[in-house]
Formats: sequence, structure tokens, C-alpha cells
Amino acid sequence: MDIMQVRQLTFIHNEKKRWLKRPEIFQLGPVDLSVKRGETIAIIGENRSGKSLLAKLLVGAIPADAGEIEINEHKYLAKYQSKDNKQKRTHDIRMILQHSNESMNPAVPVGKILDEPLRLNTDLTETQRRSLIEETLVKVGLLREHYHFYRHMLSDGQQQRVALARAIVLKPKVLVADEPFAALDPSIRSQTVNLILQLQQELGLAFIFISHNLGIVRHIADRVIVMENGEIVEEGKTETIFRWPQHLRTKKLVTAYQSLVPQQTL
Amino acid sequence: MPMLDIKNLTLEMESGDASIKALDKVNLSVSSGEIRALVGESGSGKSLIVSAICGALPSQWNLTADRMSWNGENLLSMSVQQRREVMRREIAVVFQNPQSSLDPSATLGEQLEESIPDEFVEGSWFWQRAQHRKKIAISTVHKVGIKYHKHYLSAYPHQIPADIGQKFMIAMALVSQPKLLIADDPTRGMEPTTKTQILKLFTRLNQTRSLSILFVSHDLLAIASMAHSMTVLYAGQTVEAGKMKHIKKRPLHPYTKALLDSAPSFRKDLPPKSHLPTLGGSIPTLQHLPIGCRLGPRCPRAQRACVQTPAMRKIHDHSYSCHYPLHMEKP
Repeated sequence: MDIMQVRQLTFIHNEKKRWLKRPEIFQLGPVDLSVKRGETIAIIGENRSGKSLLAKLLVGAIPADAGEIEINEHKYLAKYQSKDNKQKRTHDIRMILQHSNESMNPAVPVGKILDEPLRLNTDLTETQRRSLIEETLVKVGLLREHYHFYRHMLSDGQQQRVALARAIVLKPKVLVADEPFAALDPSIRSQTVNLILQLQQELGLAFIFISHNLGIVRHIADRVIVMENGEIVEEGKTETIFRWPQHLRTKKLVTAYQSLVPQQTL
Repeated sequence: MPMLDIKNLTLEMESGDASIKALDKVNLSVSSGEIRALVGESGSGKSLIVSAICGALPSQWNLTADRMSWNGENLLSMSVQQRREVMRREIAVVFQNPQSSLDPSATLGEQLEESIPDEFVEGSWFWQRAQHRKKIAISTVHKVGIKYHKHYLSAYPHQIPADIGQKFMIAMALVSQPKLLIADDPTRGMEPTTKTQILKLFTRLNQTRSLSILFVSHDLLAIASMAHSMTVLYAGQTVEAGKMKHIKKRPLHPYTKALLDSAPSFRKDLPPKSHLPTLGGSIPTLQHLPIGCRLGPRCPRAQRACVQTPAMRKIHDHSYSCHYPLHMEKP
């Protein structure tokens, strides 16, 4: 069952030629994508291949130029953003940003950070919001008391958990993450991976993430998308991509990864 | 005979009325022609060790060491002039964030050309020398994998993307042909192809010019593929040190084992989507360090004796500090 359908999603960045300046043209897409319930999709590729841009287009942080996104039979035209449309969309797709510690307001306690999406997007009363926030905090492995904590009082792993809590507090169906594991230390990273796997099982979330760490991609992704110059050049099951890469770019990435992995078993 | 030899390095910071030991009796040595990896999580003092070797620590911090020598010369008792000479010609450092360690008011080309030592430049007239300088700069930049030298050498640091900055820092470090390269997390956030390219460059330099490298990182996959030996740090204490081969095959300290387990690529038998083994809790902050063995509260094998700092023990050239290492039966 498909939970999300993306059709012909396109983004064009076109800076016209002026005097001595060369024109800059970057086109993303057209991208077609379908996401199943509870599925994990990894996006890999070089820097500046448009991975982060695709993630931002999916959540609507950057308006696209053409195309449509369909979630649960609810259609959004990616280009036009009516207010009503936007609200529904923030409910359904949520994003985790790359640097979770920099994307939190340092002057506001955790409770208020989590309260904001609820206040803007739902009509729950204050007590209902409060209990929902506490429930979410427990779900991501924090304590109820963390409601009153500020950013600087939390460790890296806890900040990542807050970022995750902020993403799931609206009970989304799709979660998009831009390099969620890159800035984390190994032991905290494993904890986060475990947490996301567990939440996916509980909530049936579809999870789309960008990563350079192919070890983790291989471990948790169902499907892998390879991007180059704003286009999807290869797409397929994780094992298939890692064993029989077809496109040149994929081959390069996979061989680069394989050359680091120790060949003999430990 | 090790080139860089550090024994019992301790760094104390005064904060208010208490003093914090940010580094506690750290031992580290790099032999010539060796790639030594320094592994630890953030806040374990990796970067502090790098700054300590450079002599870039603020003077109000109290740095003591039983031994800290470079080729038999004591680094701590050197004059500033001598120290600078050593840092200029023999040790090169790649710092963590390139954007903030480059000079924002000069172009990359100017900075790179400035760091070429005079004796490498040929030619007797100033225009010949300038030309040759430029040639060296371009070839170095190509070596680390920056293609559009024309564009990037005339760019200012704020105009370049982070990954070019990283490669550029490596180029600047290599241009003076040092004996020891200290690379502080040089591959962070790089895509796999570029990372492999940089690691291959390091390995090649190590083999052809016998450049020693101190590779500071927490990317175990990269380390395992190139390093000869490894030192593991946790919260400012050396936890385990030895040959890469031995550590990978049989870690003795519970923390090293947890680190190795955290990389799913090392384990072929791991079914996809299974839970990764982890240590509970998080890295302690400097203000709230546990007494004794600093891993204590997170360690699965911790017992009462762990409130005393364990002494360094040695089996051949594999040393560890733990009261209940993994090769001993749990009492």
C-alpha cells in the first residue's frame, strides 16, 4: 500500500546571464517516487547532487516549480501552497534537520519547542497539549522533567531525541531526515538508530533519510535512491544496489565503500 | 624509537574553585612511518591533545607531562622560536573546521603559496620564483582532488563549500612536506568517494614518503582500513592502545568493544534492521566526570573496584586500563 506518491516533482534554479556573470542553471527532477507504509528509503549521492534539496521539496520548505505530491489520497500541488494545504502537509510530513542542536531555539525550553507545532497546527487545549508532549518525550526515551530543560542542558544524544520528538509530535506519516546521523558520536548514533527503528515499528512511519554512511544505509534501509546532478539515476532494493550496482555513479559509491570494509570476517 | 612520545599528559583547567582534569594521564606515541589512529567520542579530549602538541592551548590551563618529546627533544622546555620551527617544518596539522581556521582576508592561493617553504622554490629571479610557487600550489591542489584550481585558488574562504575547504586544509598541510601529519577529523561529512580518495592519498604518502600520520577521528571504518595502530580515548583517559589488528580481533576493554560494535559494517552476520548493541547513557560532561574509571556508570562489567582509576596494564604491545577486561572471566 502506497502512503505517499510523488509525481513529476521539478525544481529549477535559473540565474540569468548578466554582463560577465555566467548563467547558473540547476534542475532537479522530474522526480517520481512512491513510498510504502513503514518503509525506509535512503538517498545517497555526491555533494551538490540535490539530495538536501529533494528532502526540502518533499516537506515543502522550498516551493517546487511543478509536480504533485499525494499523501493518503490527499493531493497537493507542489507549486501552489494554499494555507489549508500547508497545514495538512505539516501534519503528514515532518523533517529532522542535519544539526539538531543548531535548529533549536536556545532561549526557549524543550516543552515550548515541542508546543509550537501543536499550537500552530492543532486546536488542542493547553492541558491536552501538555500531556501529549509528555507522552512524546517518554516515547523518545526522555523524562517528563525535560519539559523545562533548555537546549544547553542537554547532551548531543538528548538533543537529537528532542529533534525526533518535535518531528513525531504531530503524528506524521512520513518522516524526512537530512543526515540525521552525521554529527553524532558512534555510541549515540547506535542509540538513535535503535530508537528510529523502534518508533517505526510502533507508529508505522515511513522514513526517508539522506546519509553518507553507507554502513548504516545498508543496515536500516529497504530501498536506496542514488542521485546525481539533480536526477535519480538508480533506484532499487538495498541488497540489489549494494551487490549489483548498475549506474556508474552507484558503482563508484559502492566500490568506495567496499574498499573500506574489511574483507575477512572478524 | 617513537618520533612523538607523550607520557602521562595531564591537562587541568581551573573553573571557579574546582579544578577539572580534562586529560588524565594520556599516553600516546607515534613511530616514524606509522599511521596511528586516535579514536574517541566528542568531549573525550582528542582535539585537546592535538592543541597540546601544537602548543596552541591557552596559557592559564595547566599542562603537565612526564614526557613529551619530538625526536628526542623536549617539546615543553623548547623556546617559542624552536617550537615554531618544529611546527612549521616537521609537524603539520589539519584542523577540524577549515572555514574558521583559514584567513578570511586572503585568497586561498595566497595562503597556500605563503606556506610553501623557500627552499622548494626554484629560480633566481622573482618572477621565476613566483611562477614556480604558483606551479607548486596548483599541483598540490590537484593532488588532494580539487579540480577547478583556477576558480578555487582565487576564491576567499567564505566563498568555498565546506568539503573543498577540508581538502584545501590538507593541501596546505602537505605542501611543506612534513614528517608528521596530524589530521583532526579530516573526513568528517565527506561523501564516500572523496573519503576513499583522501584516505588513499594518506596511505600512499605514508608508503612512498614514509610520512607518519596521527589520524584523529571517530570514523572506525576509515581507521580500520588504513591505520596500523590505534589509541582509544574516553573522557580524557587512555582506555586501550595497541596494534589495529589485535584490537580489532580481540578488544580487551568494554568501551573499545562497544565502539567496534557500533559500526554495522564490521559485522557480516548482523541481520538488517536489528537493534545495534549500545552502551546506555551518554558521554559525561567535563563538569560532572565520574571518579575512578570514567566509563564506570555506563560500563556493563563495572564493579565496586571501578571507583579507583585502573592502572595501565600491558600484554606485549597491547595496553589497556580496566579492572575487569574482556579476556578475564567475570568474577
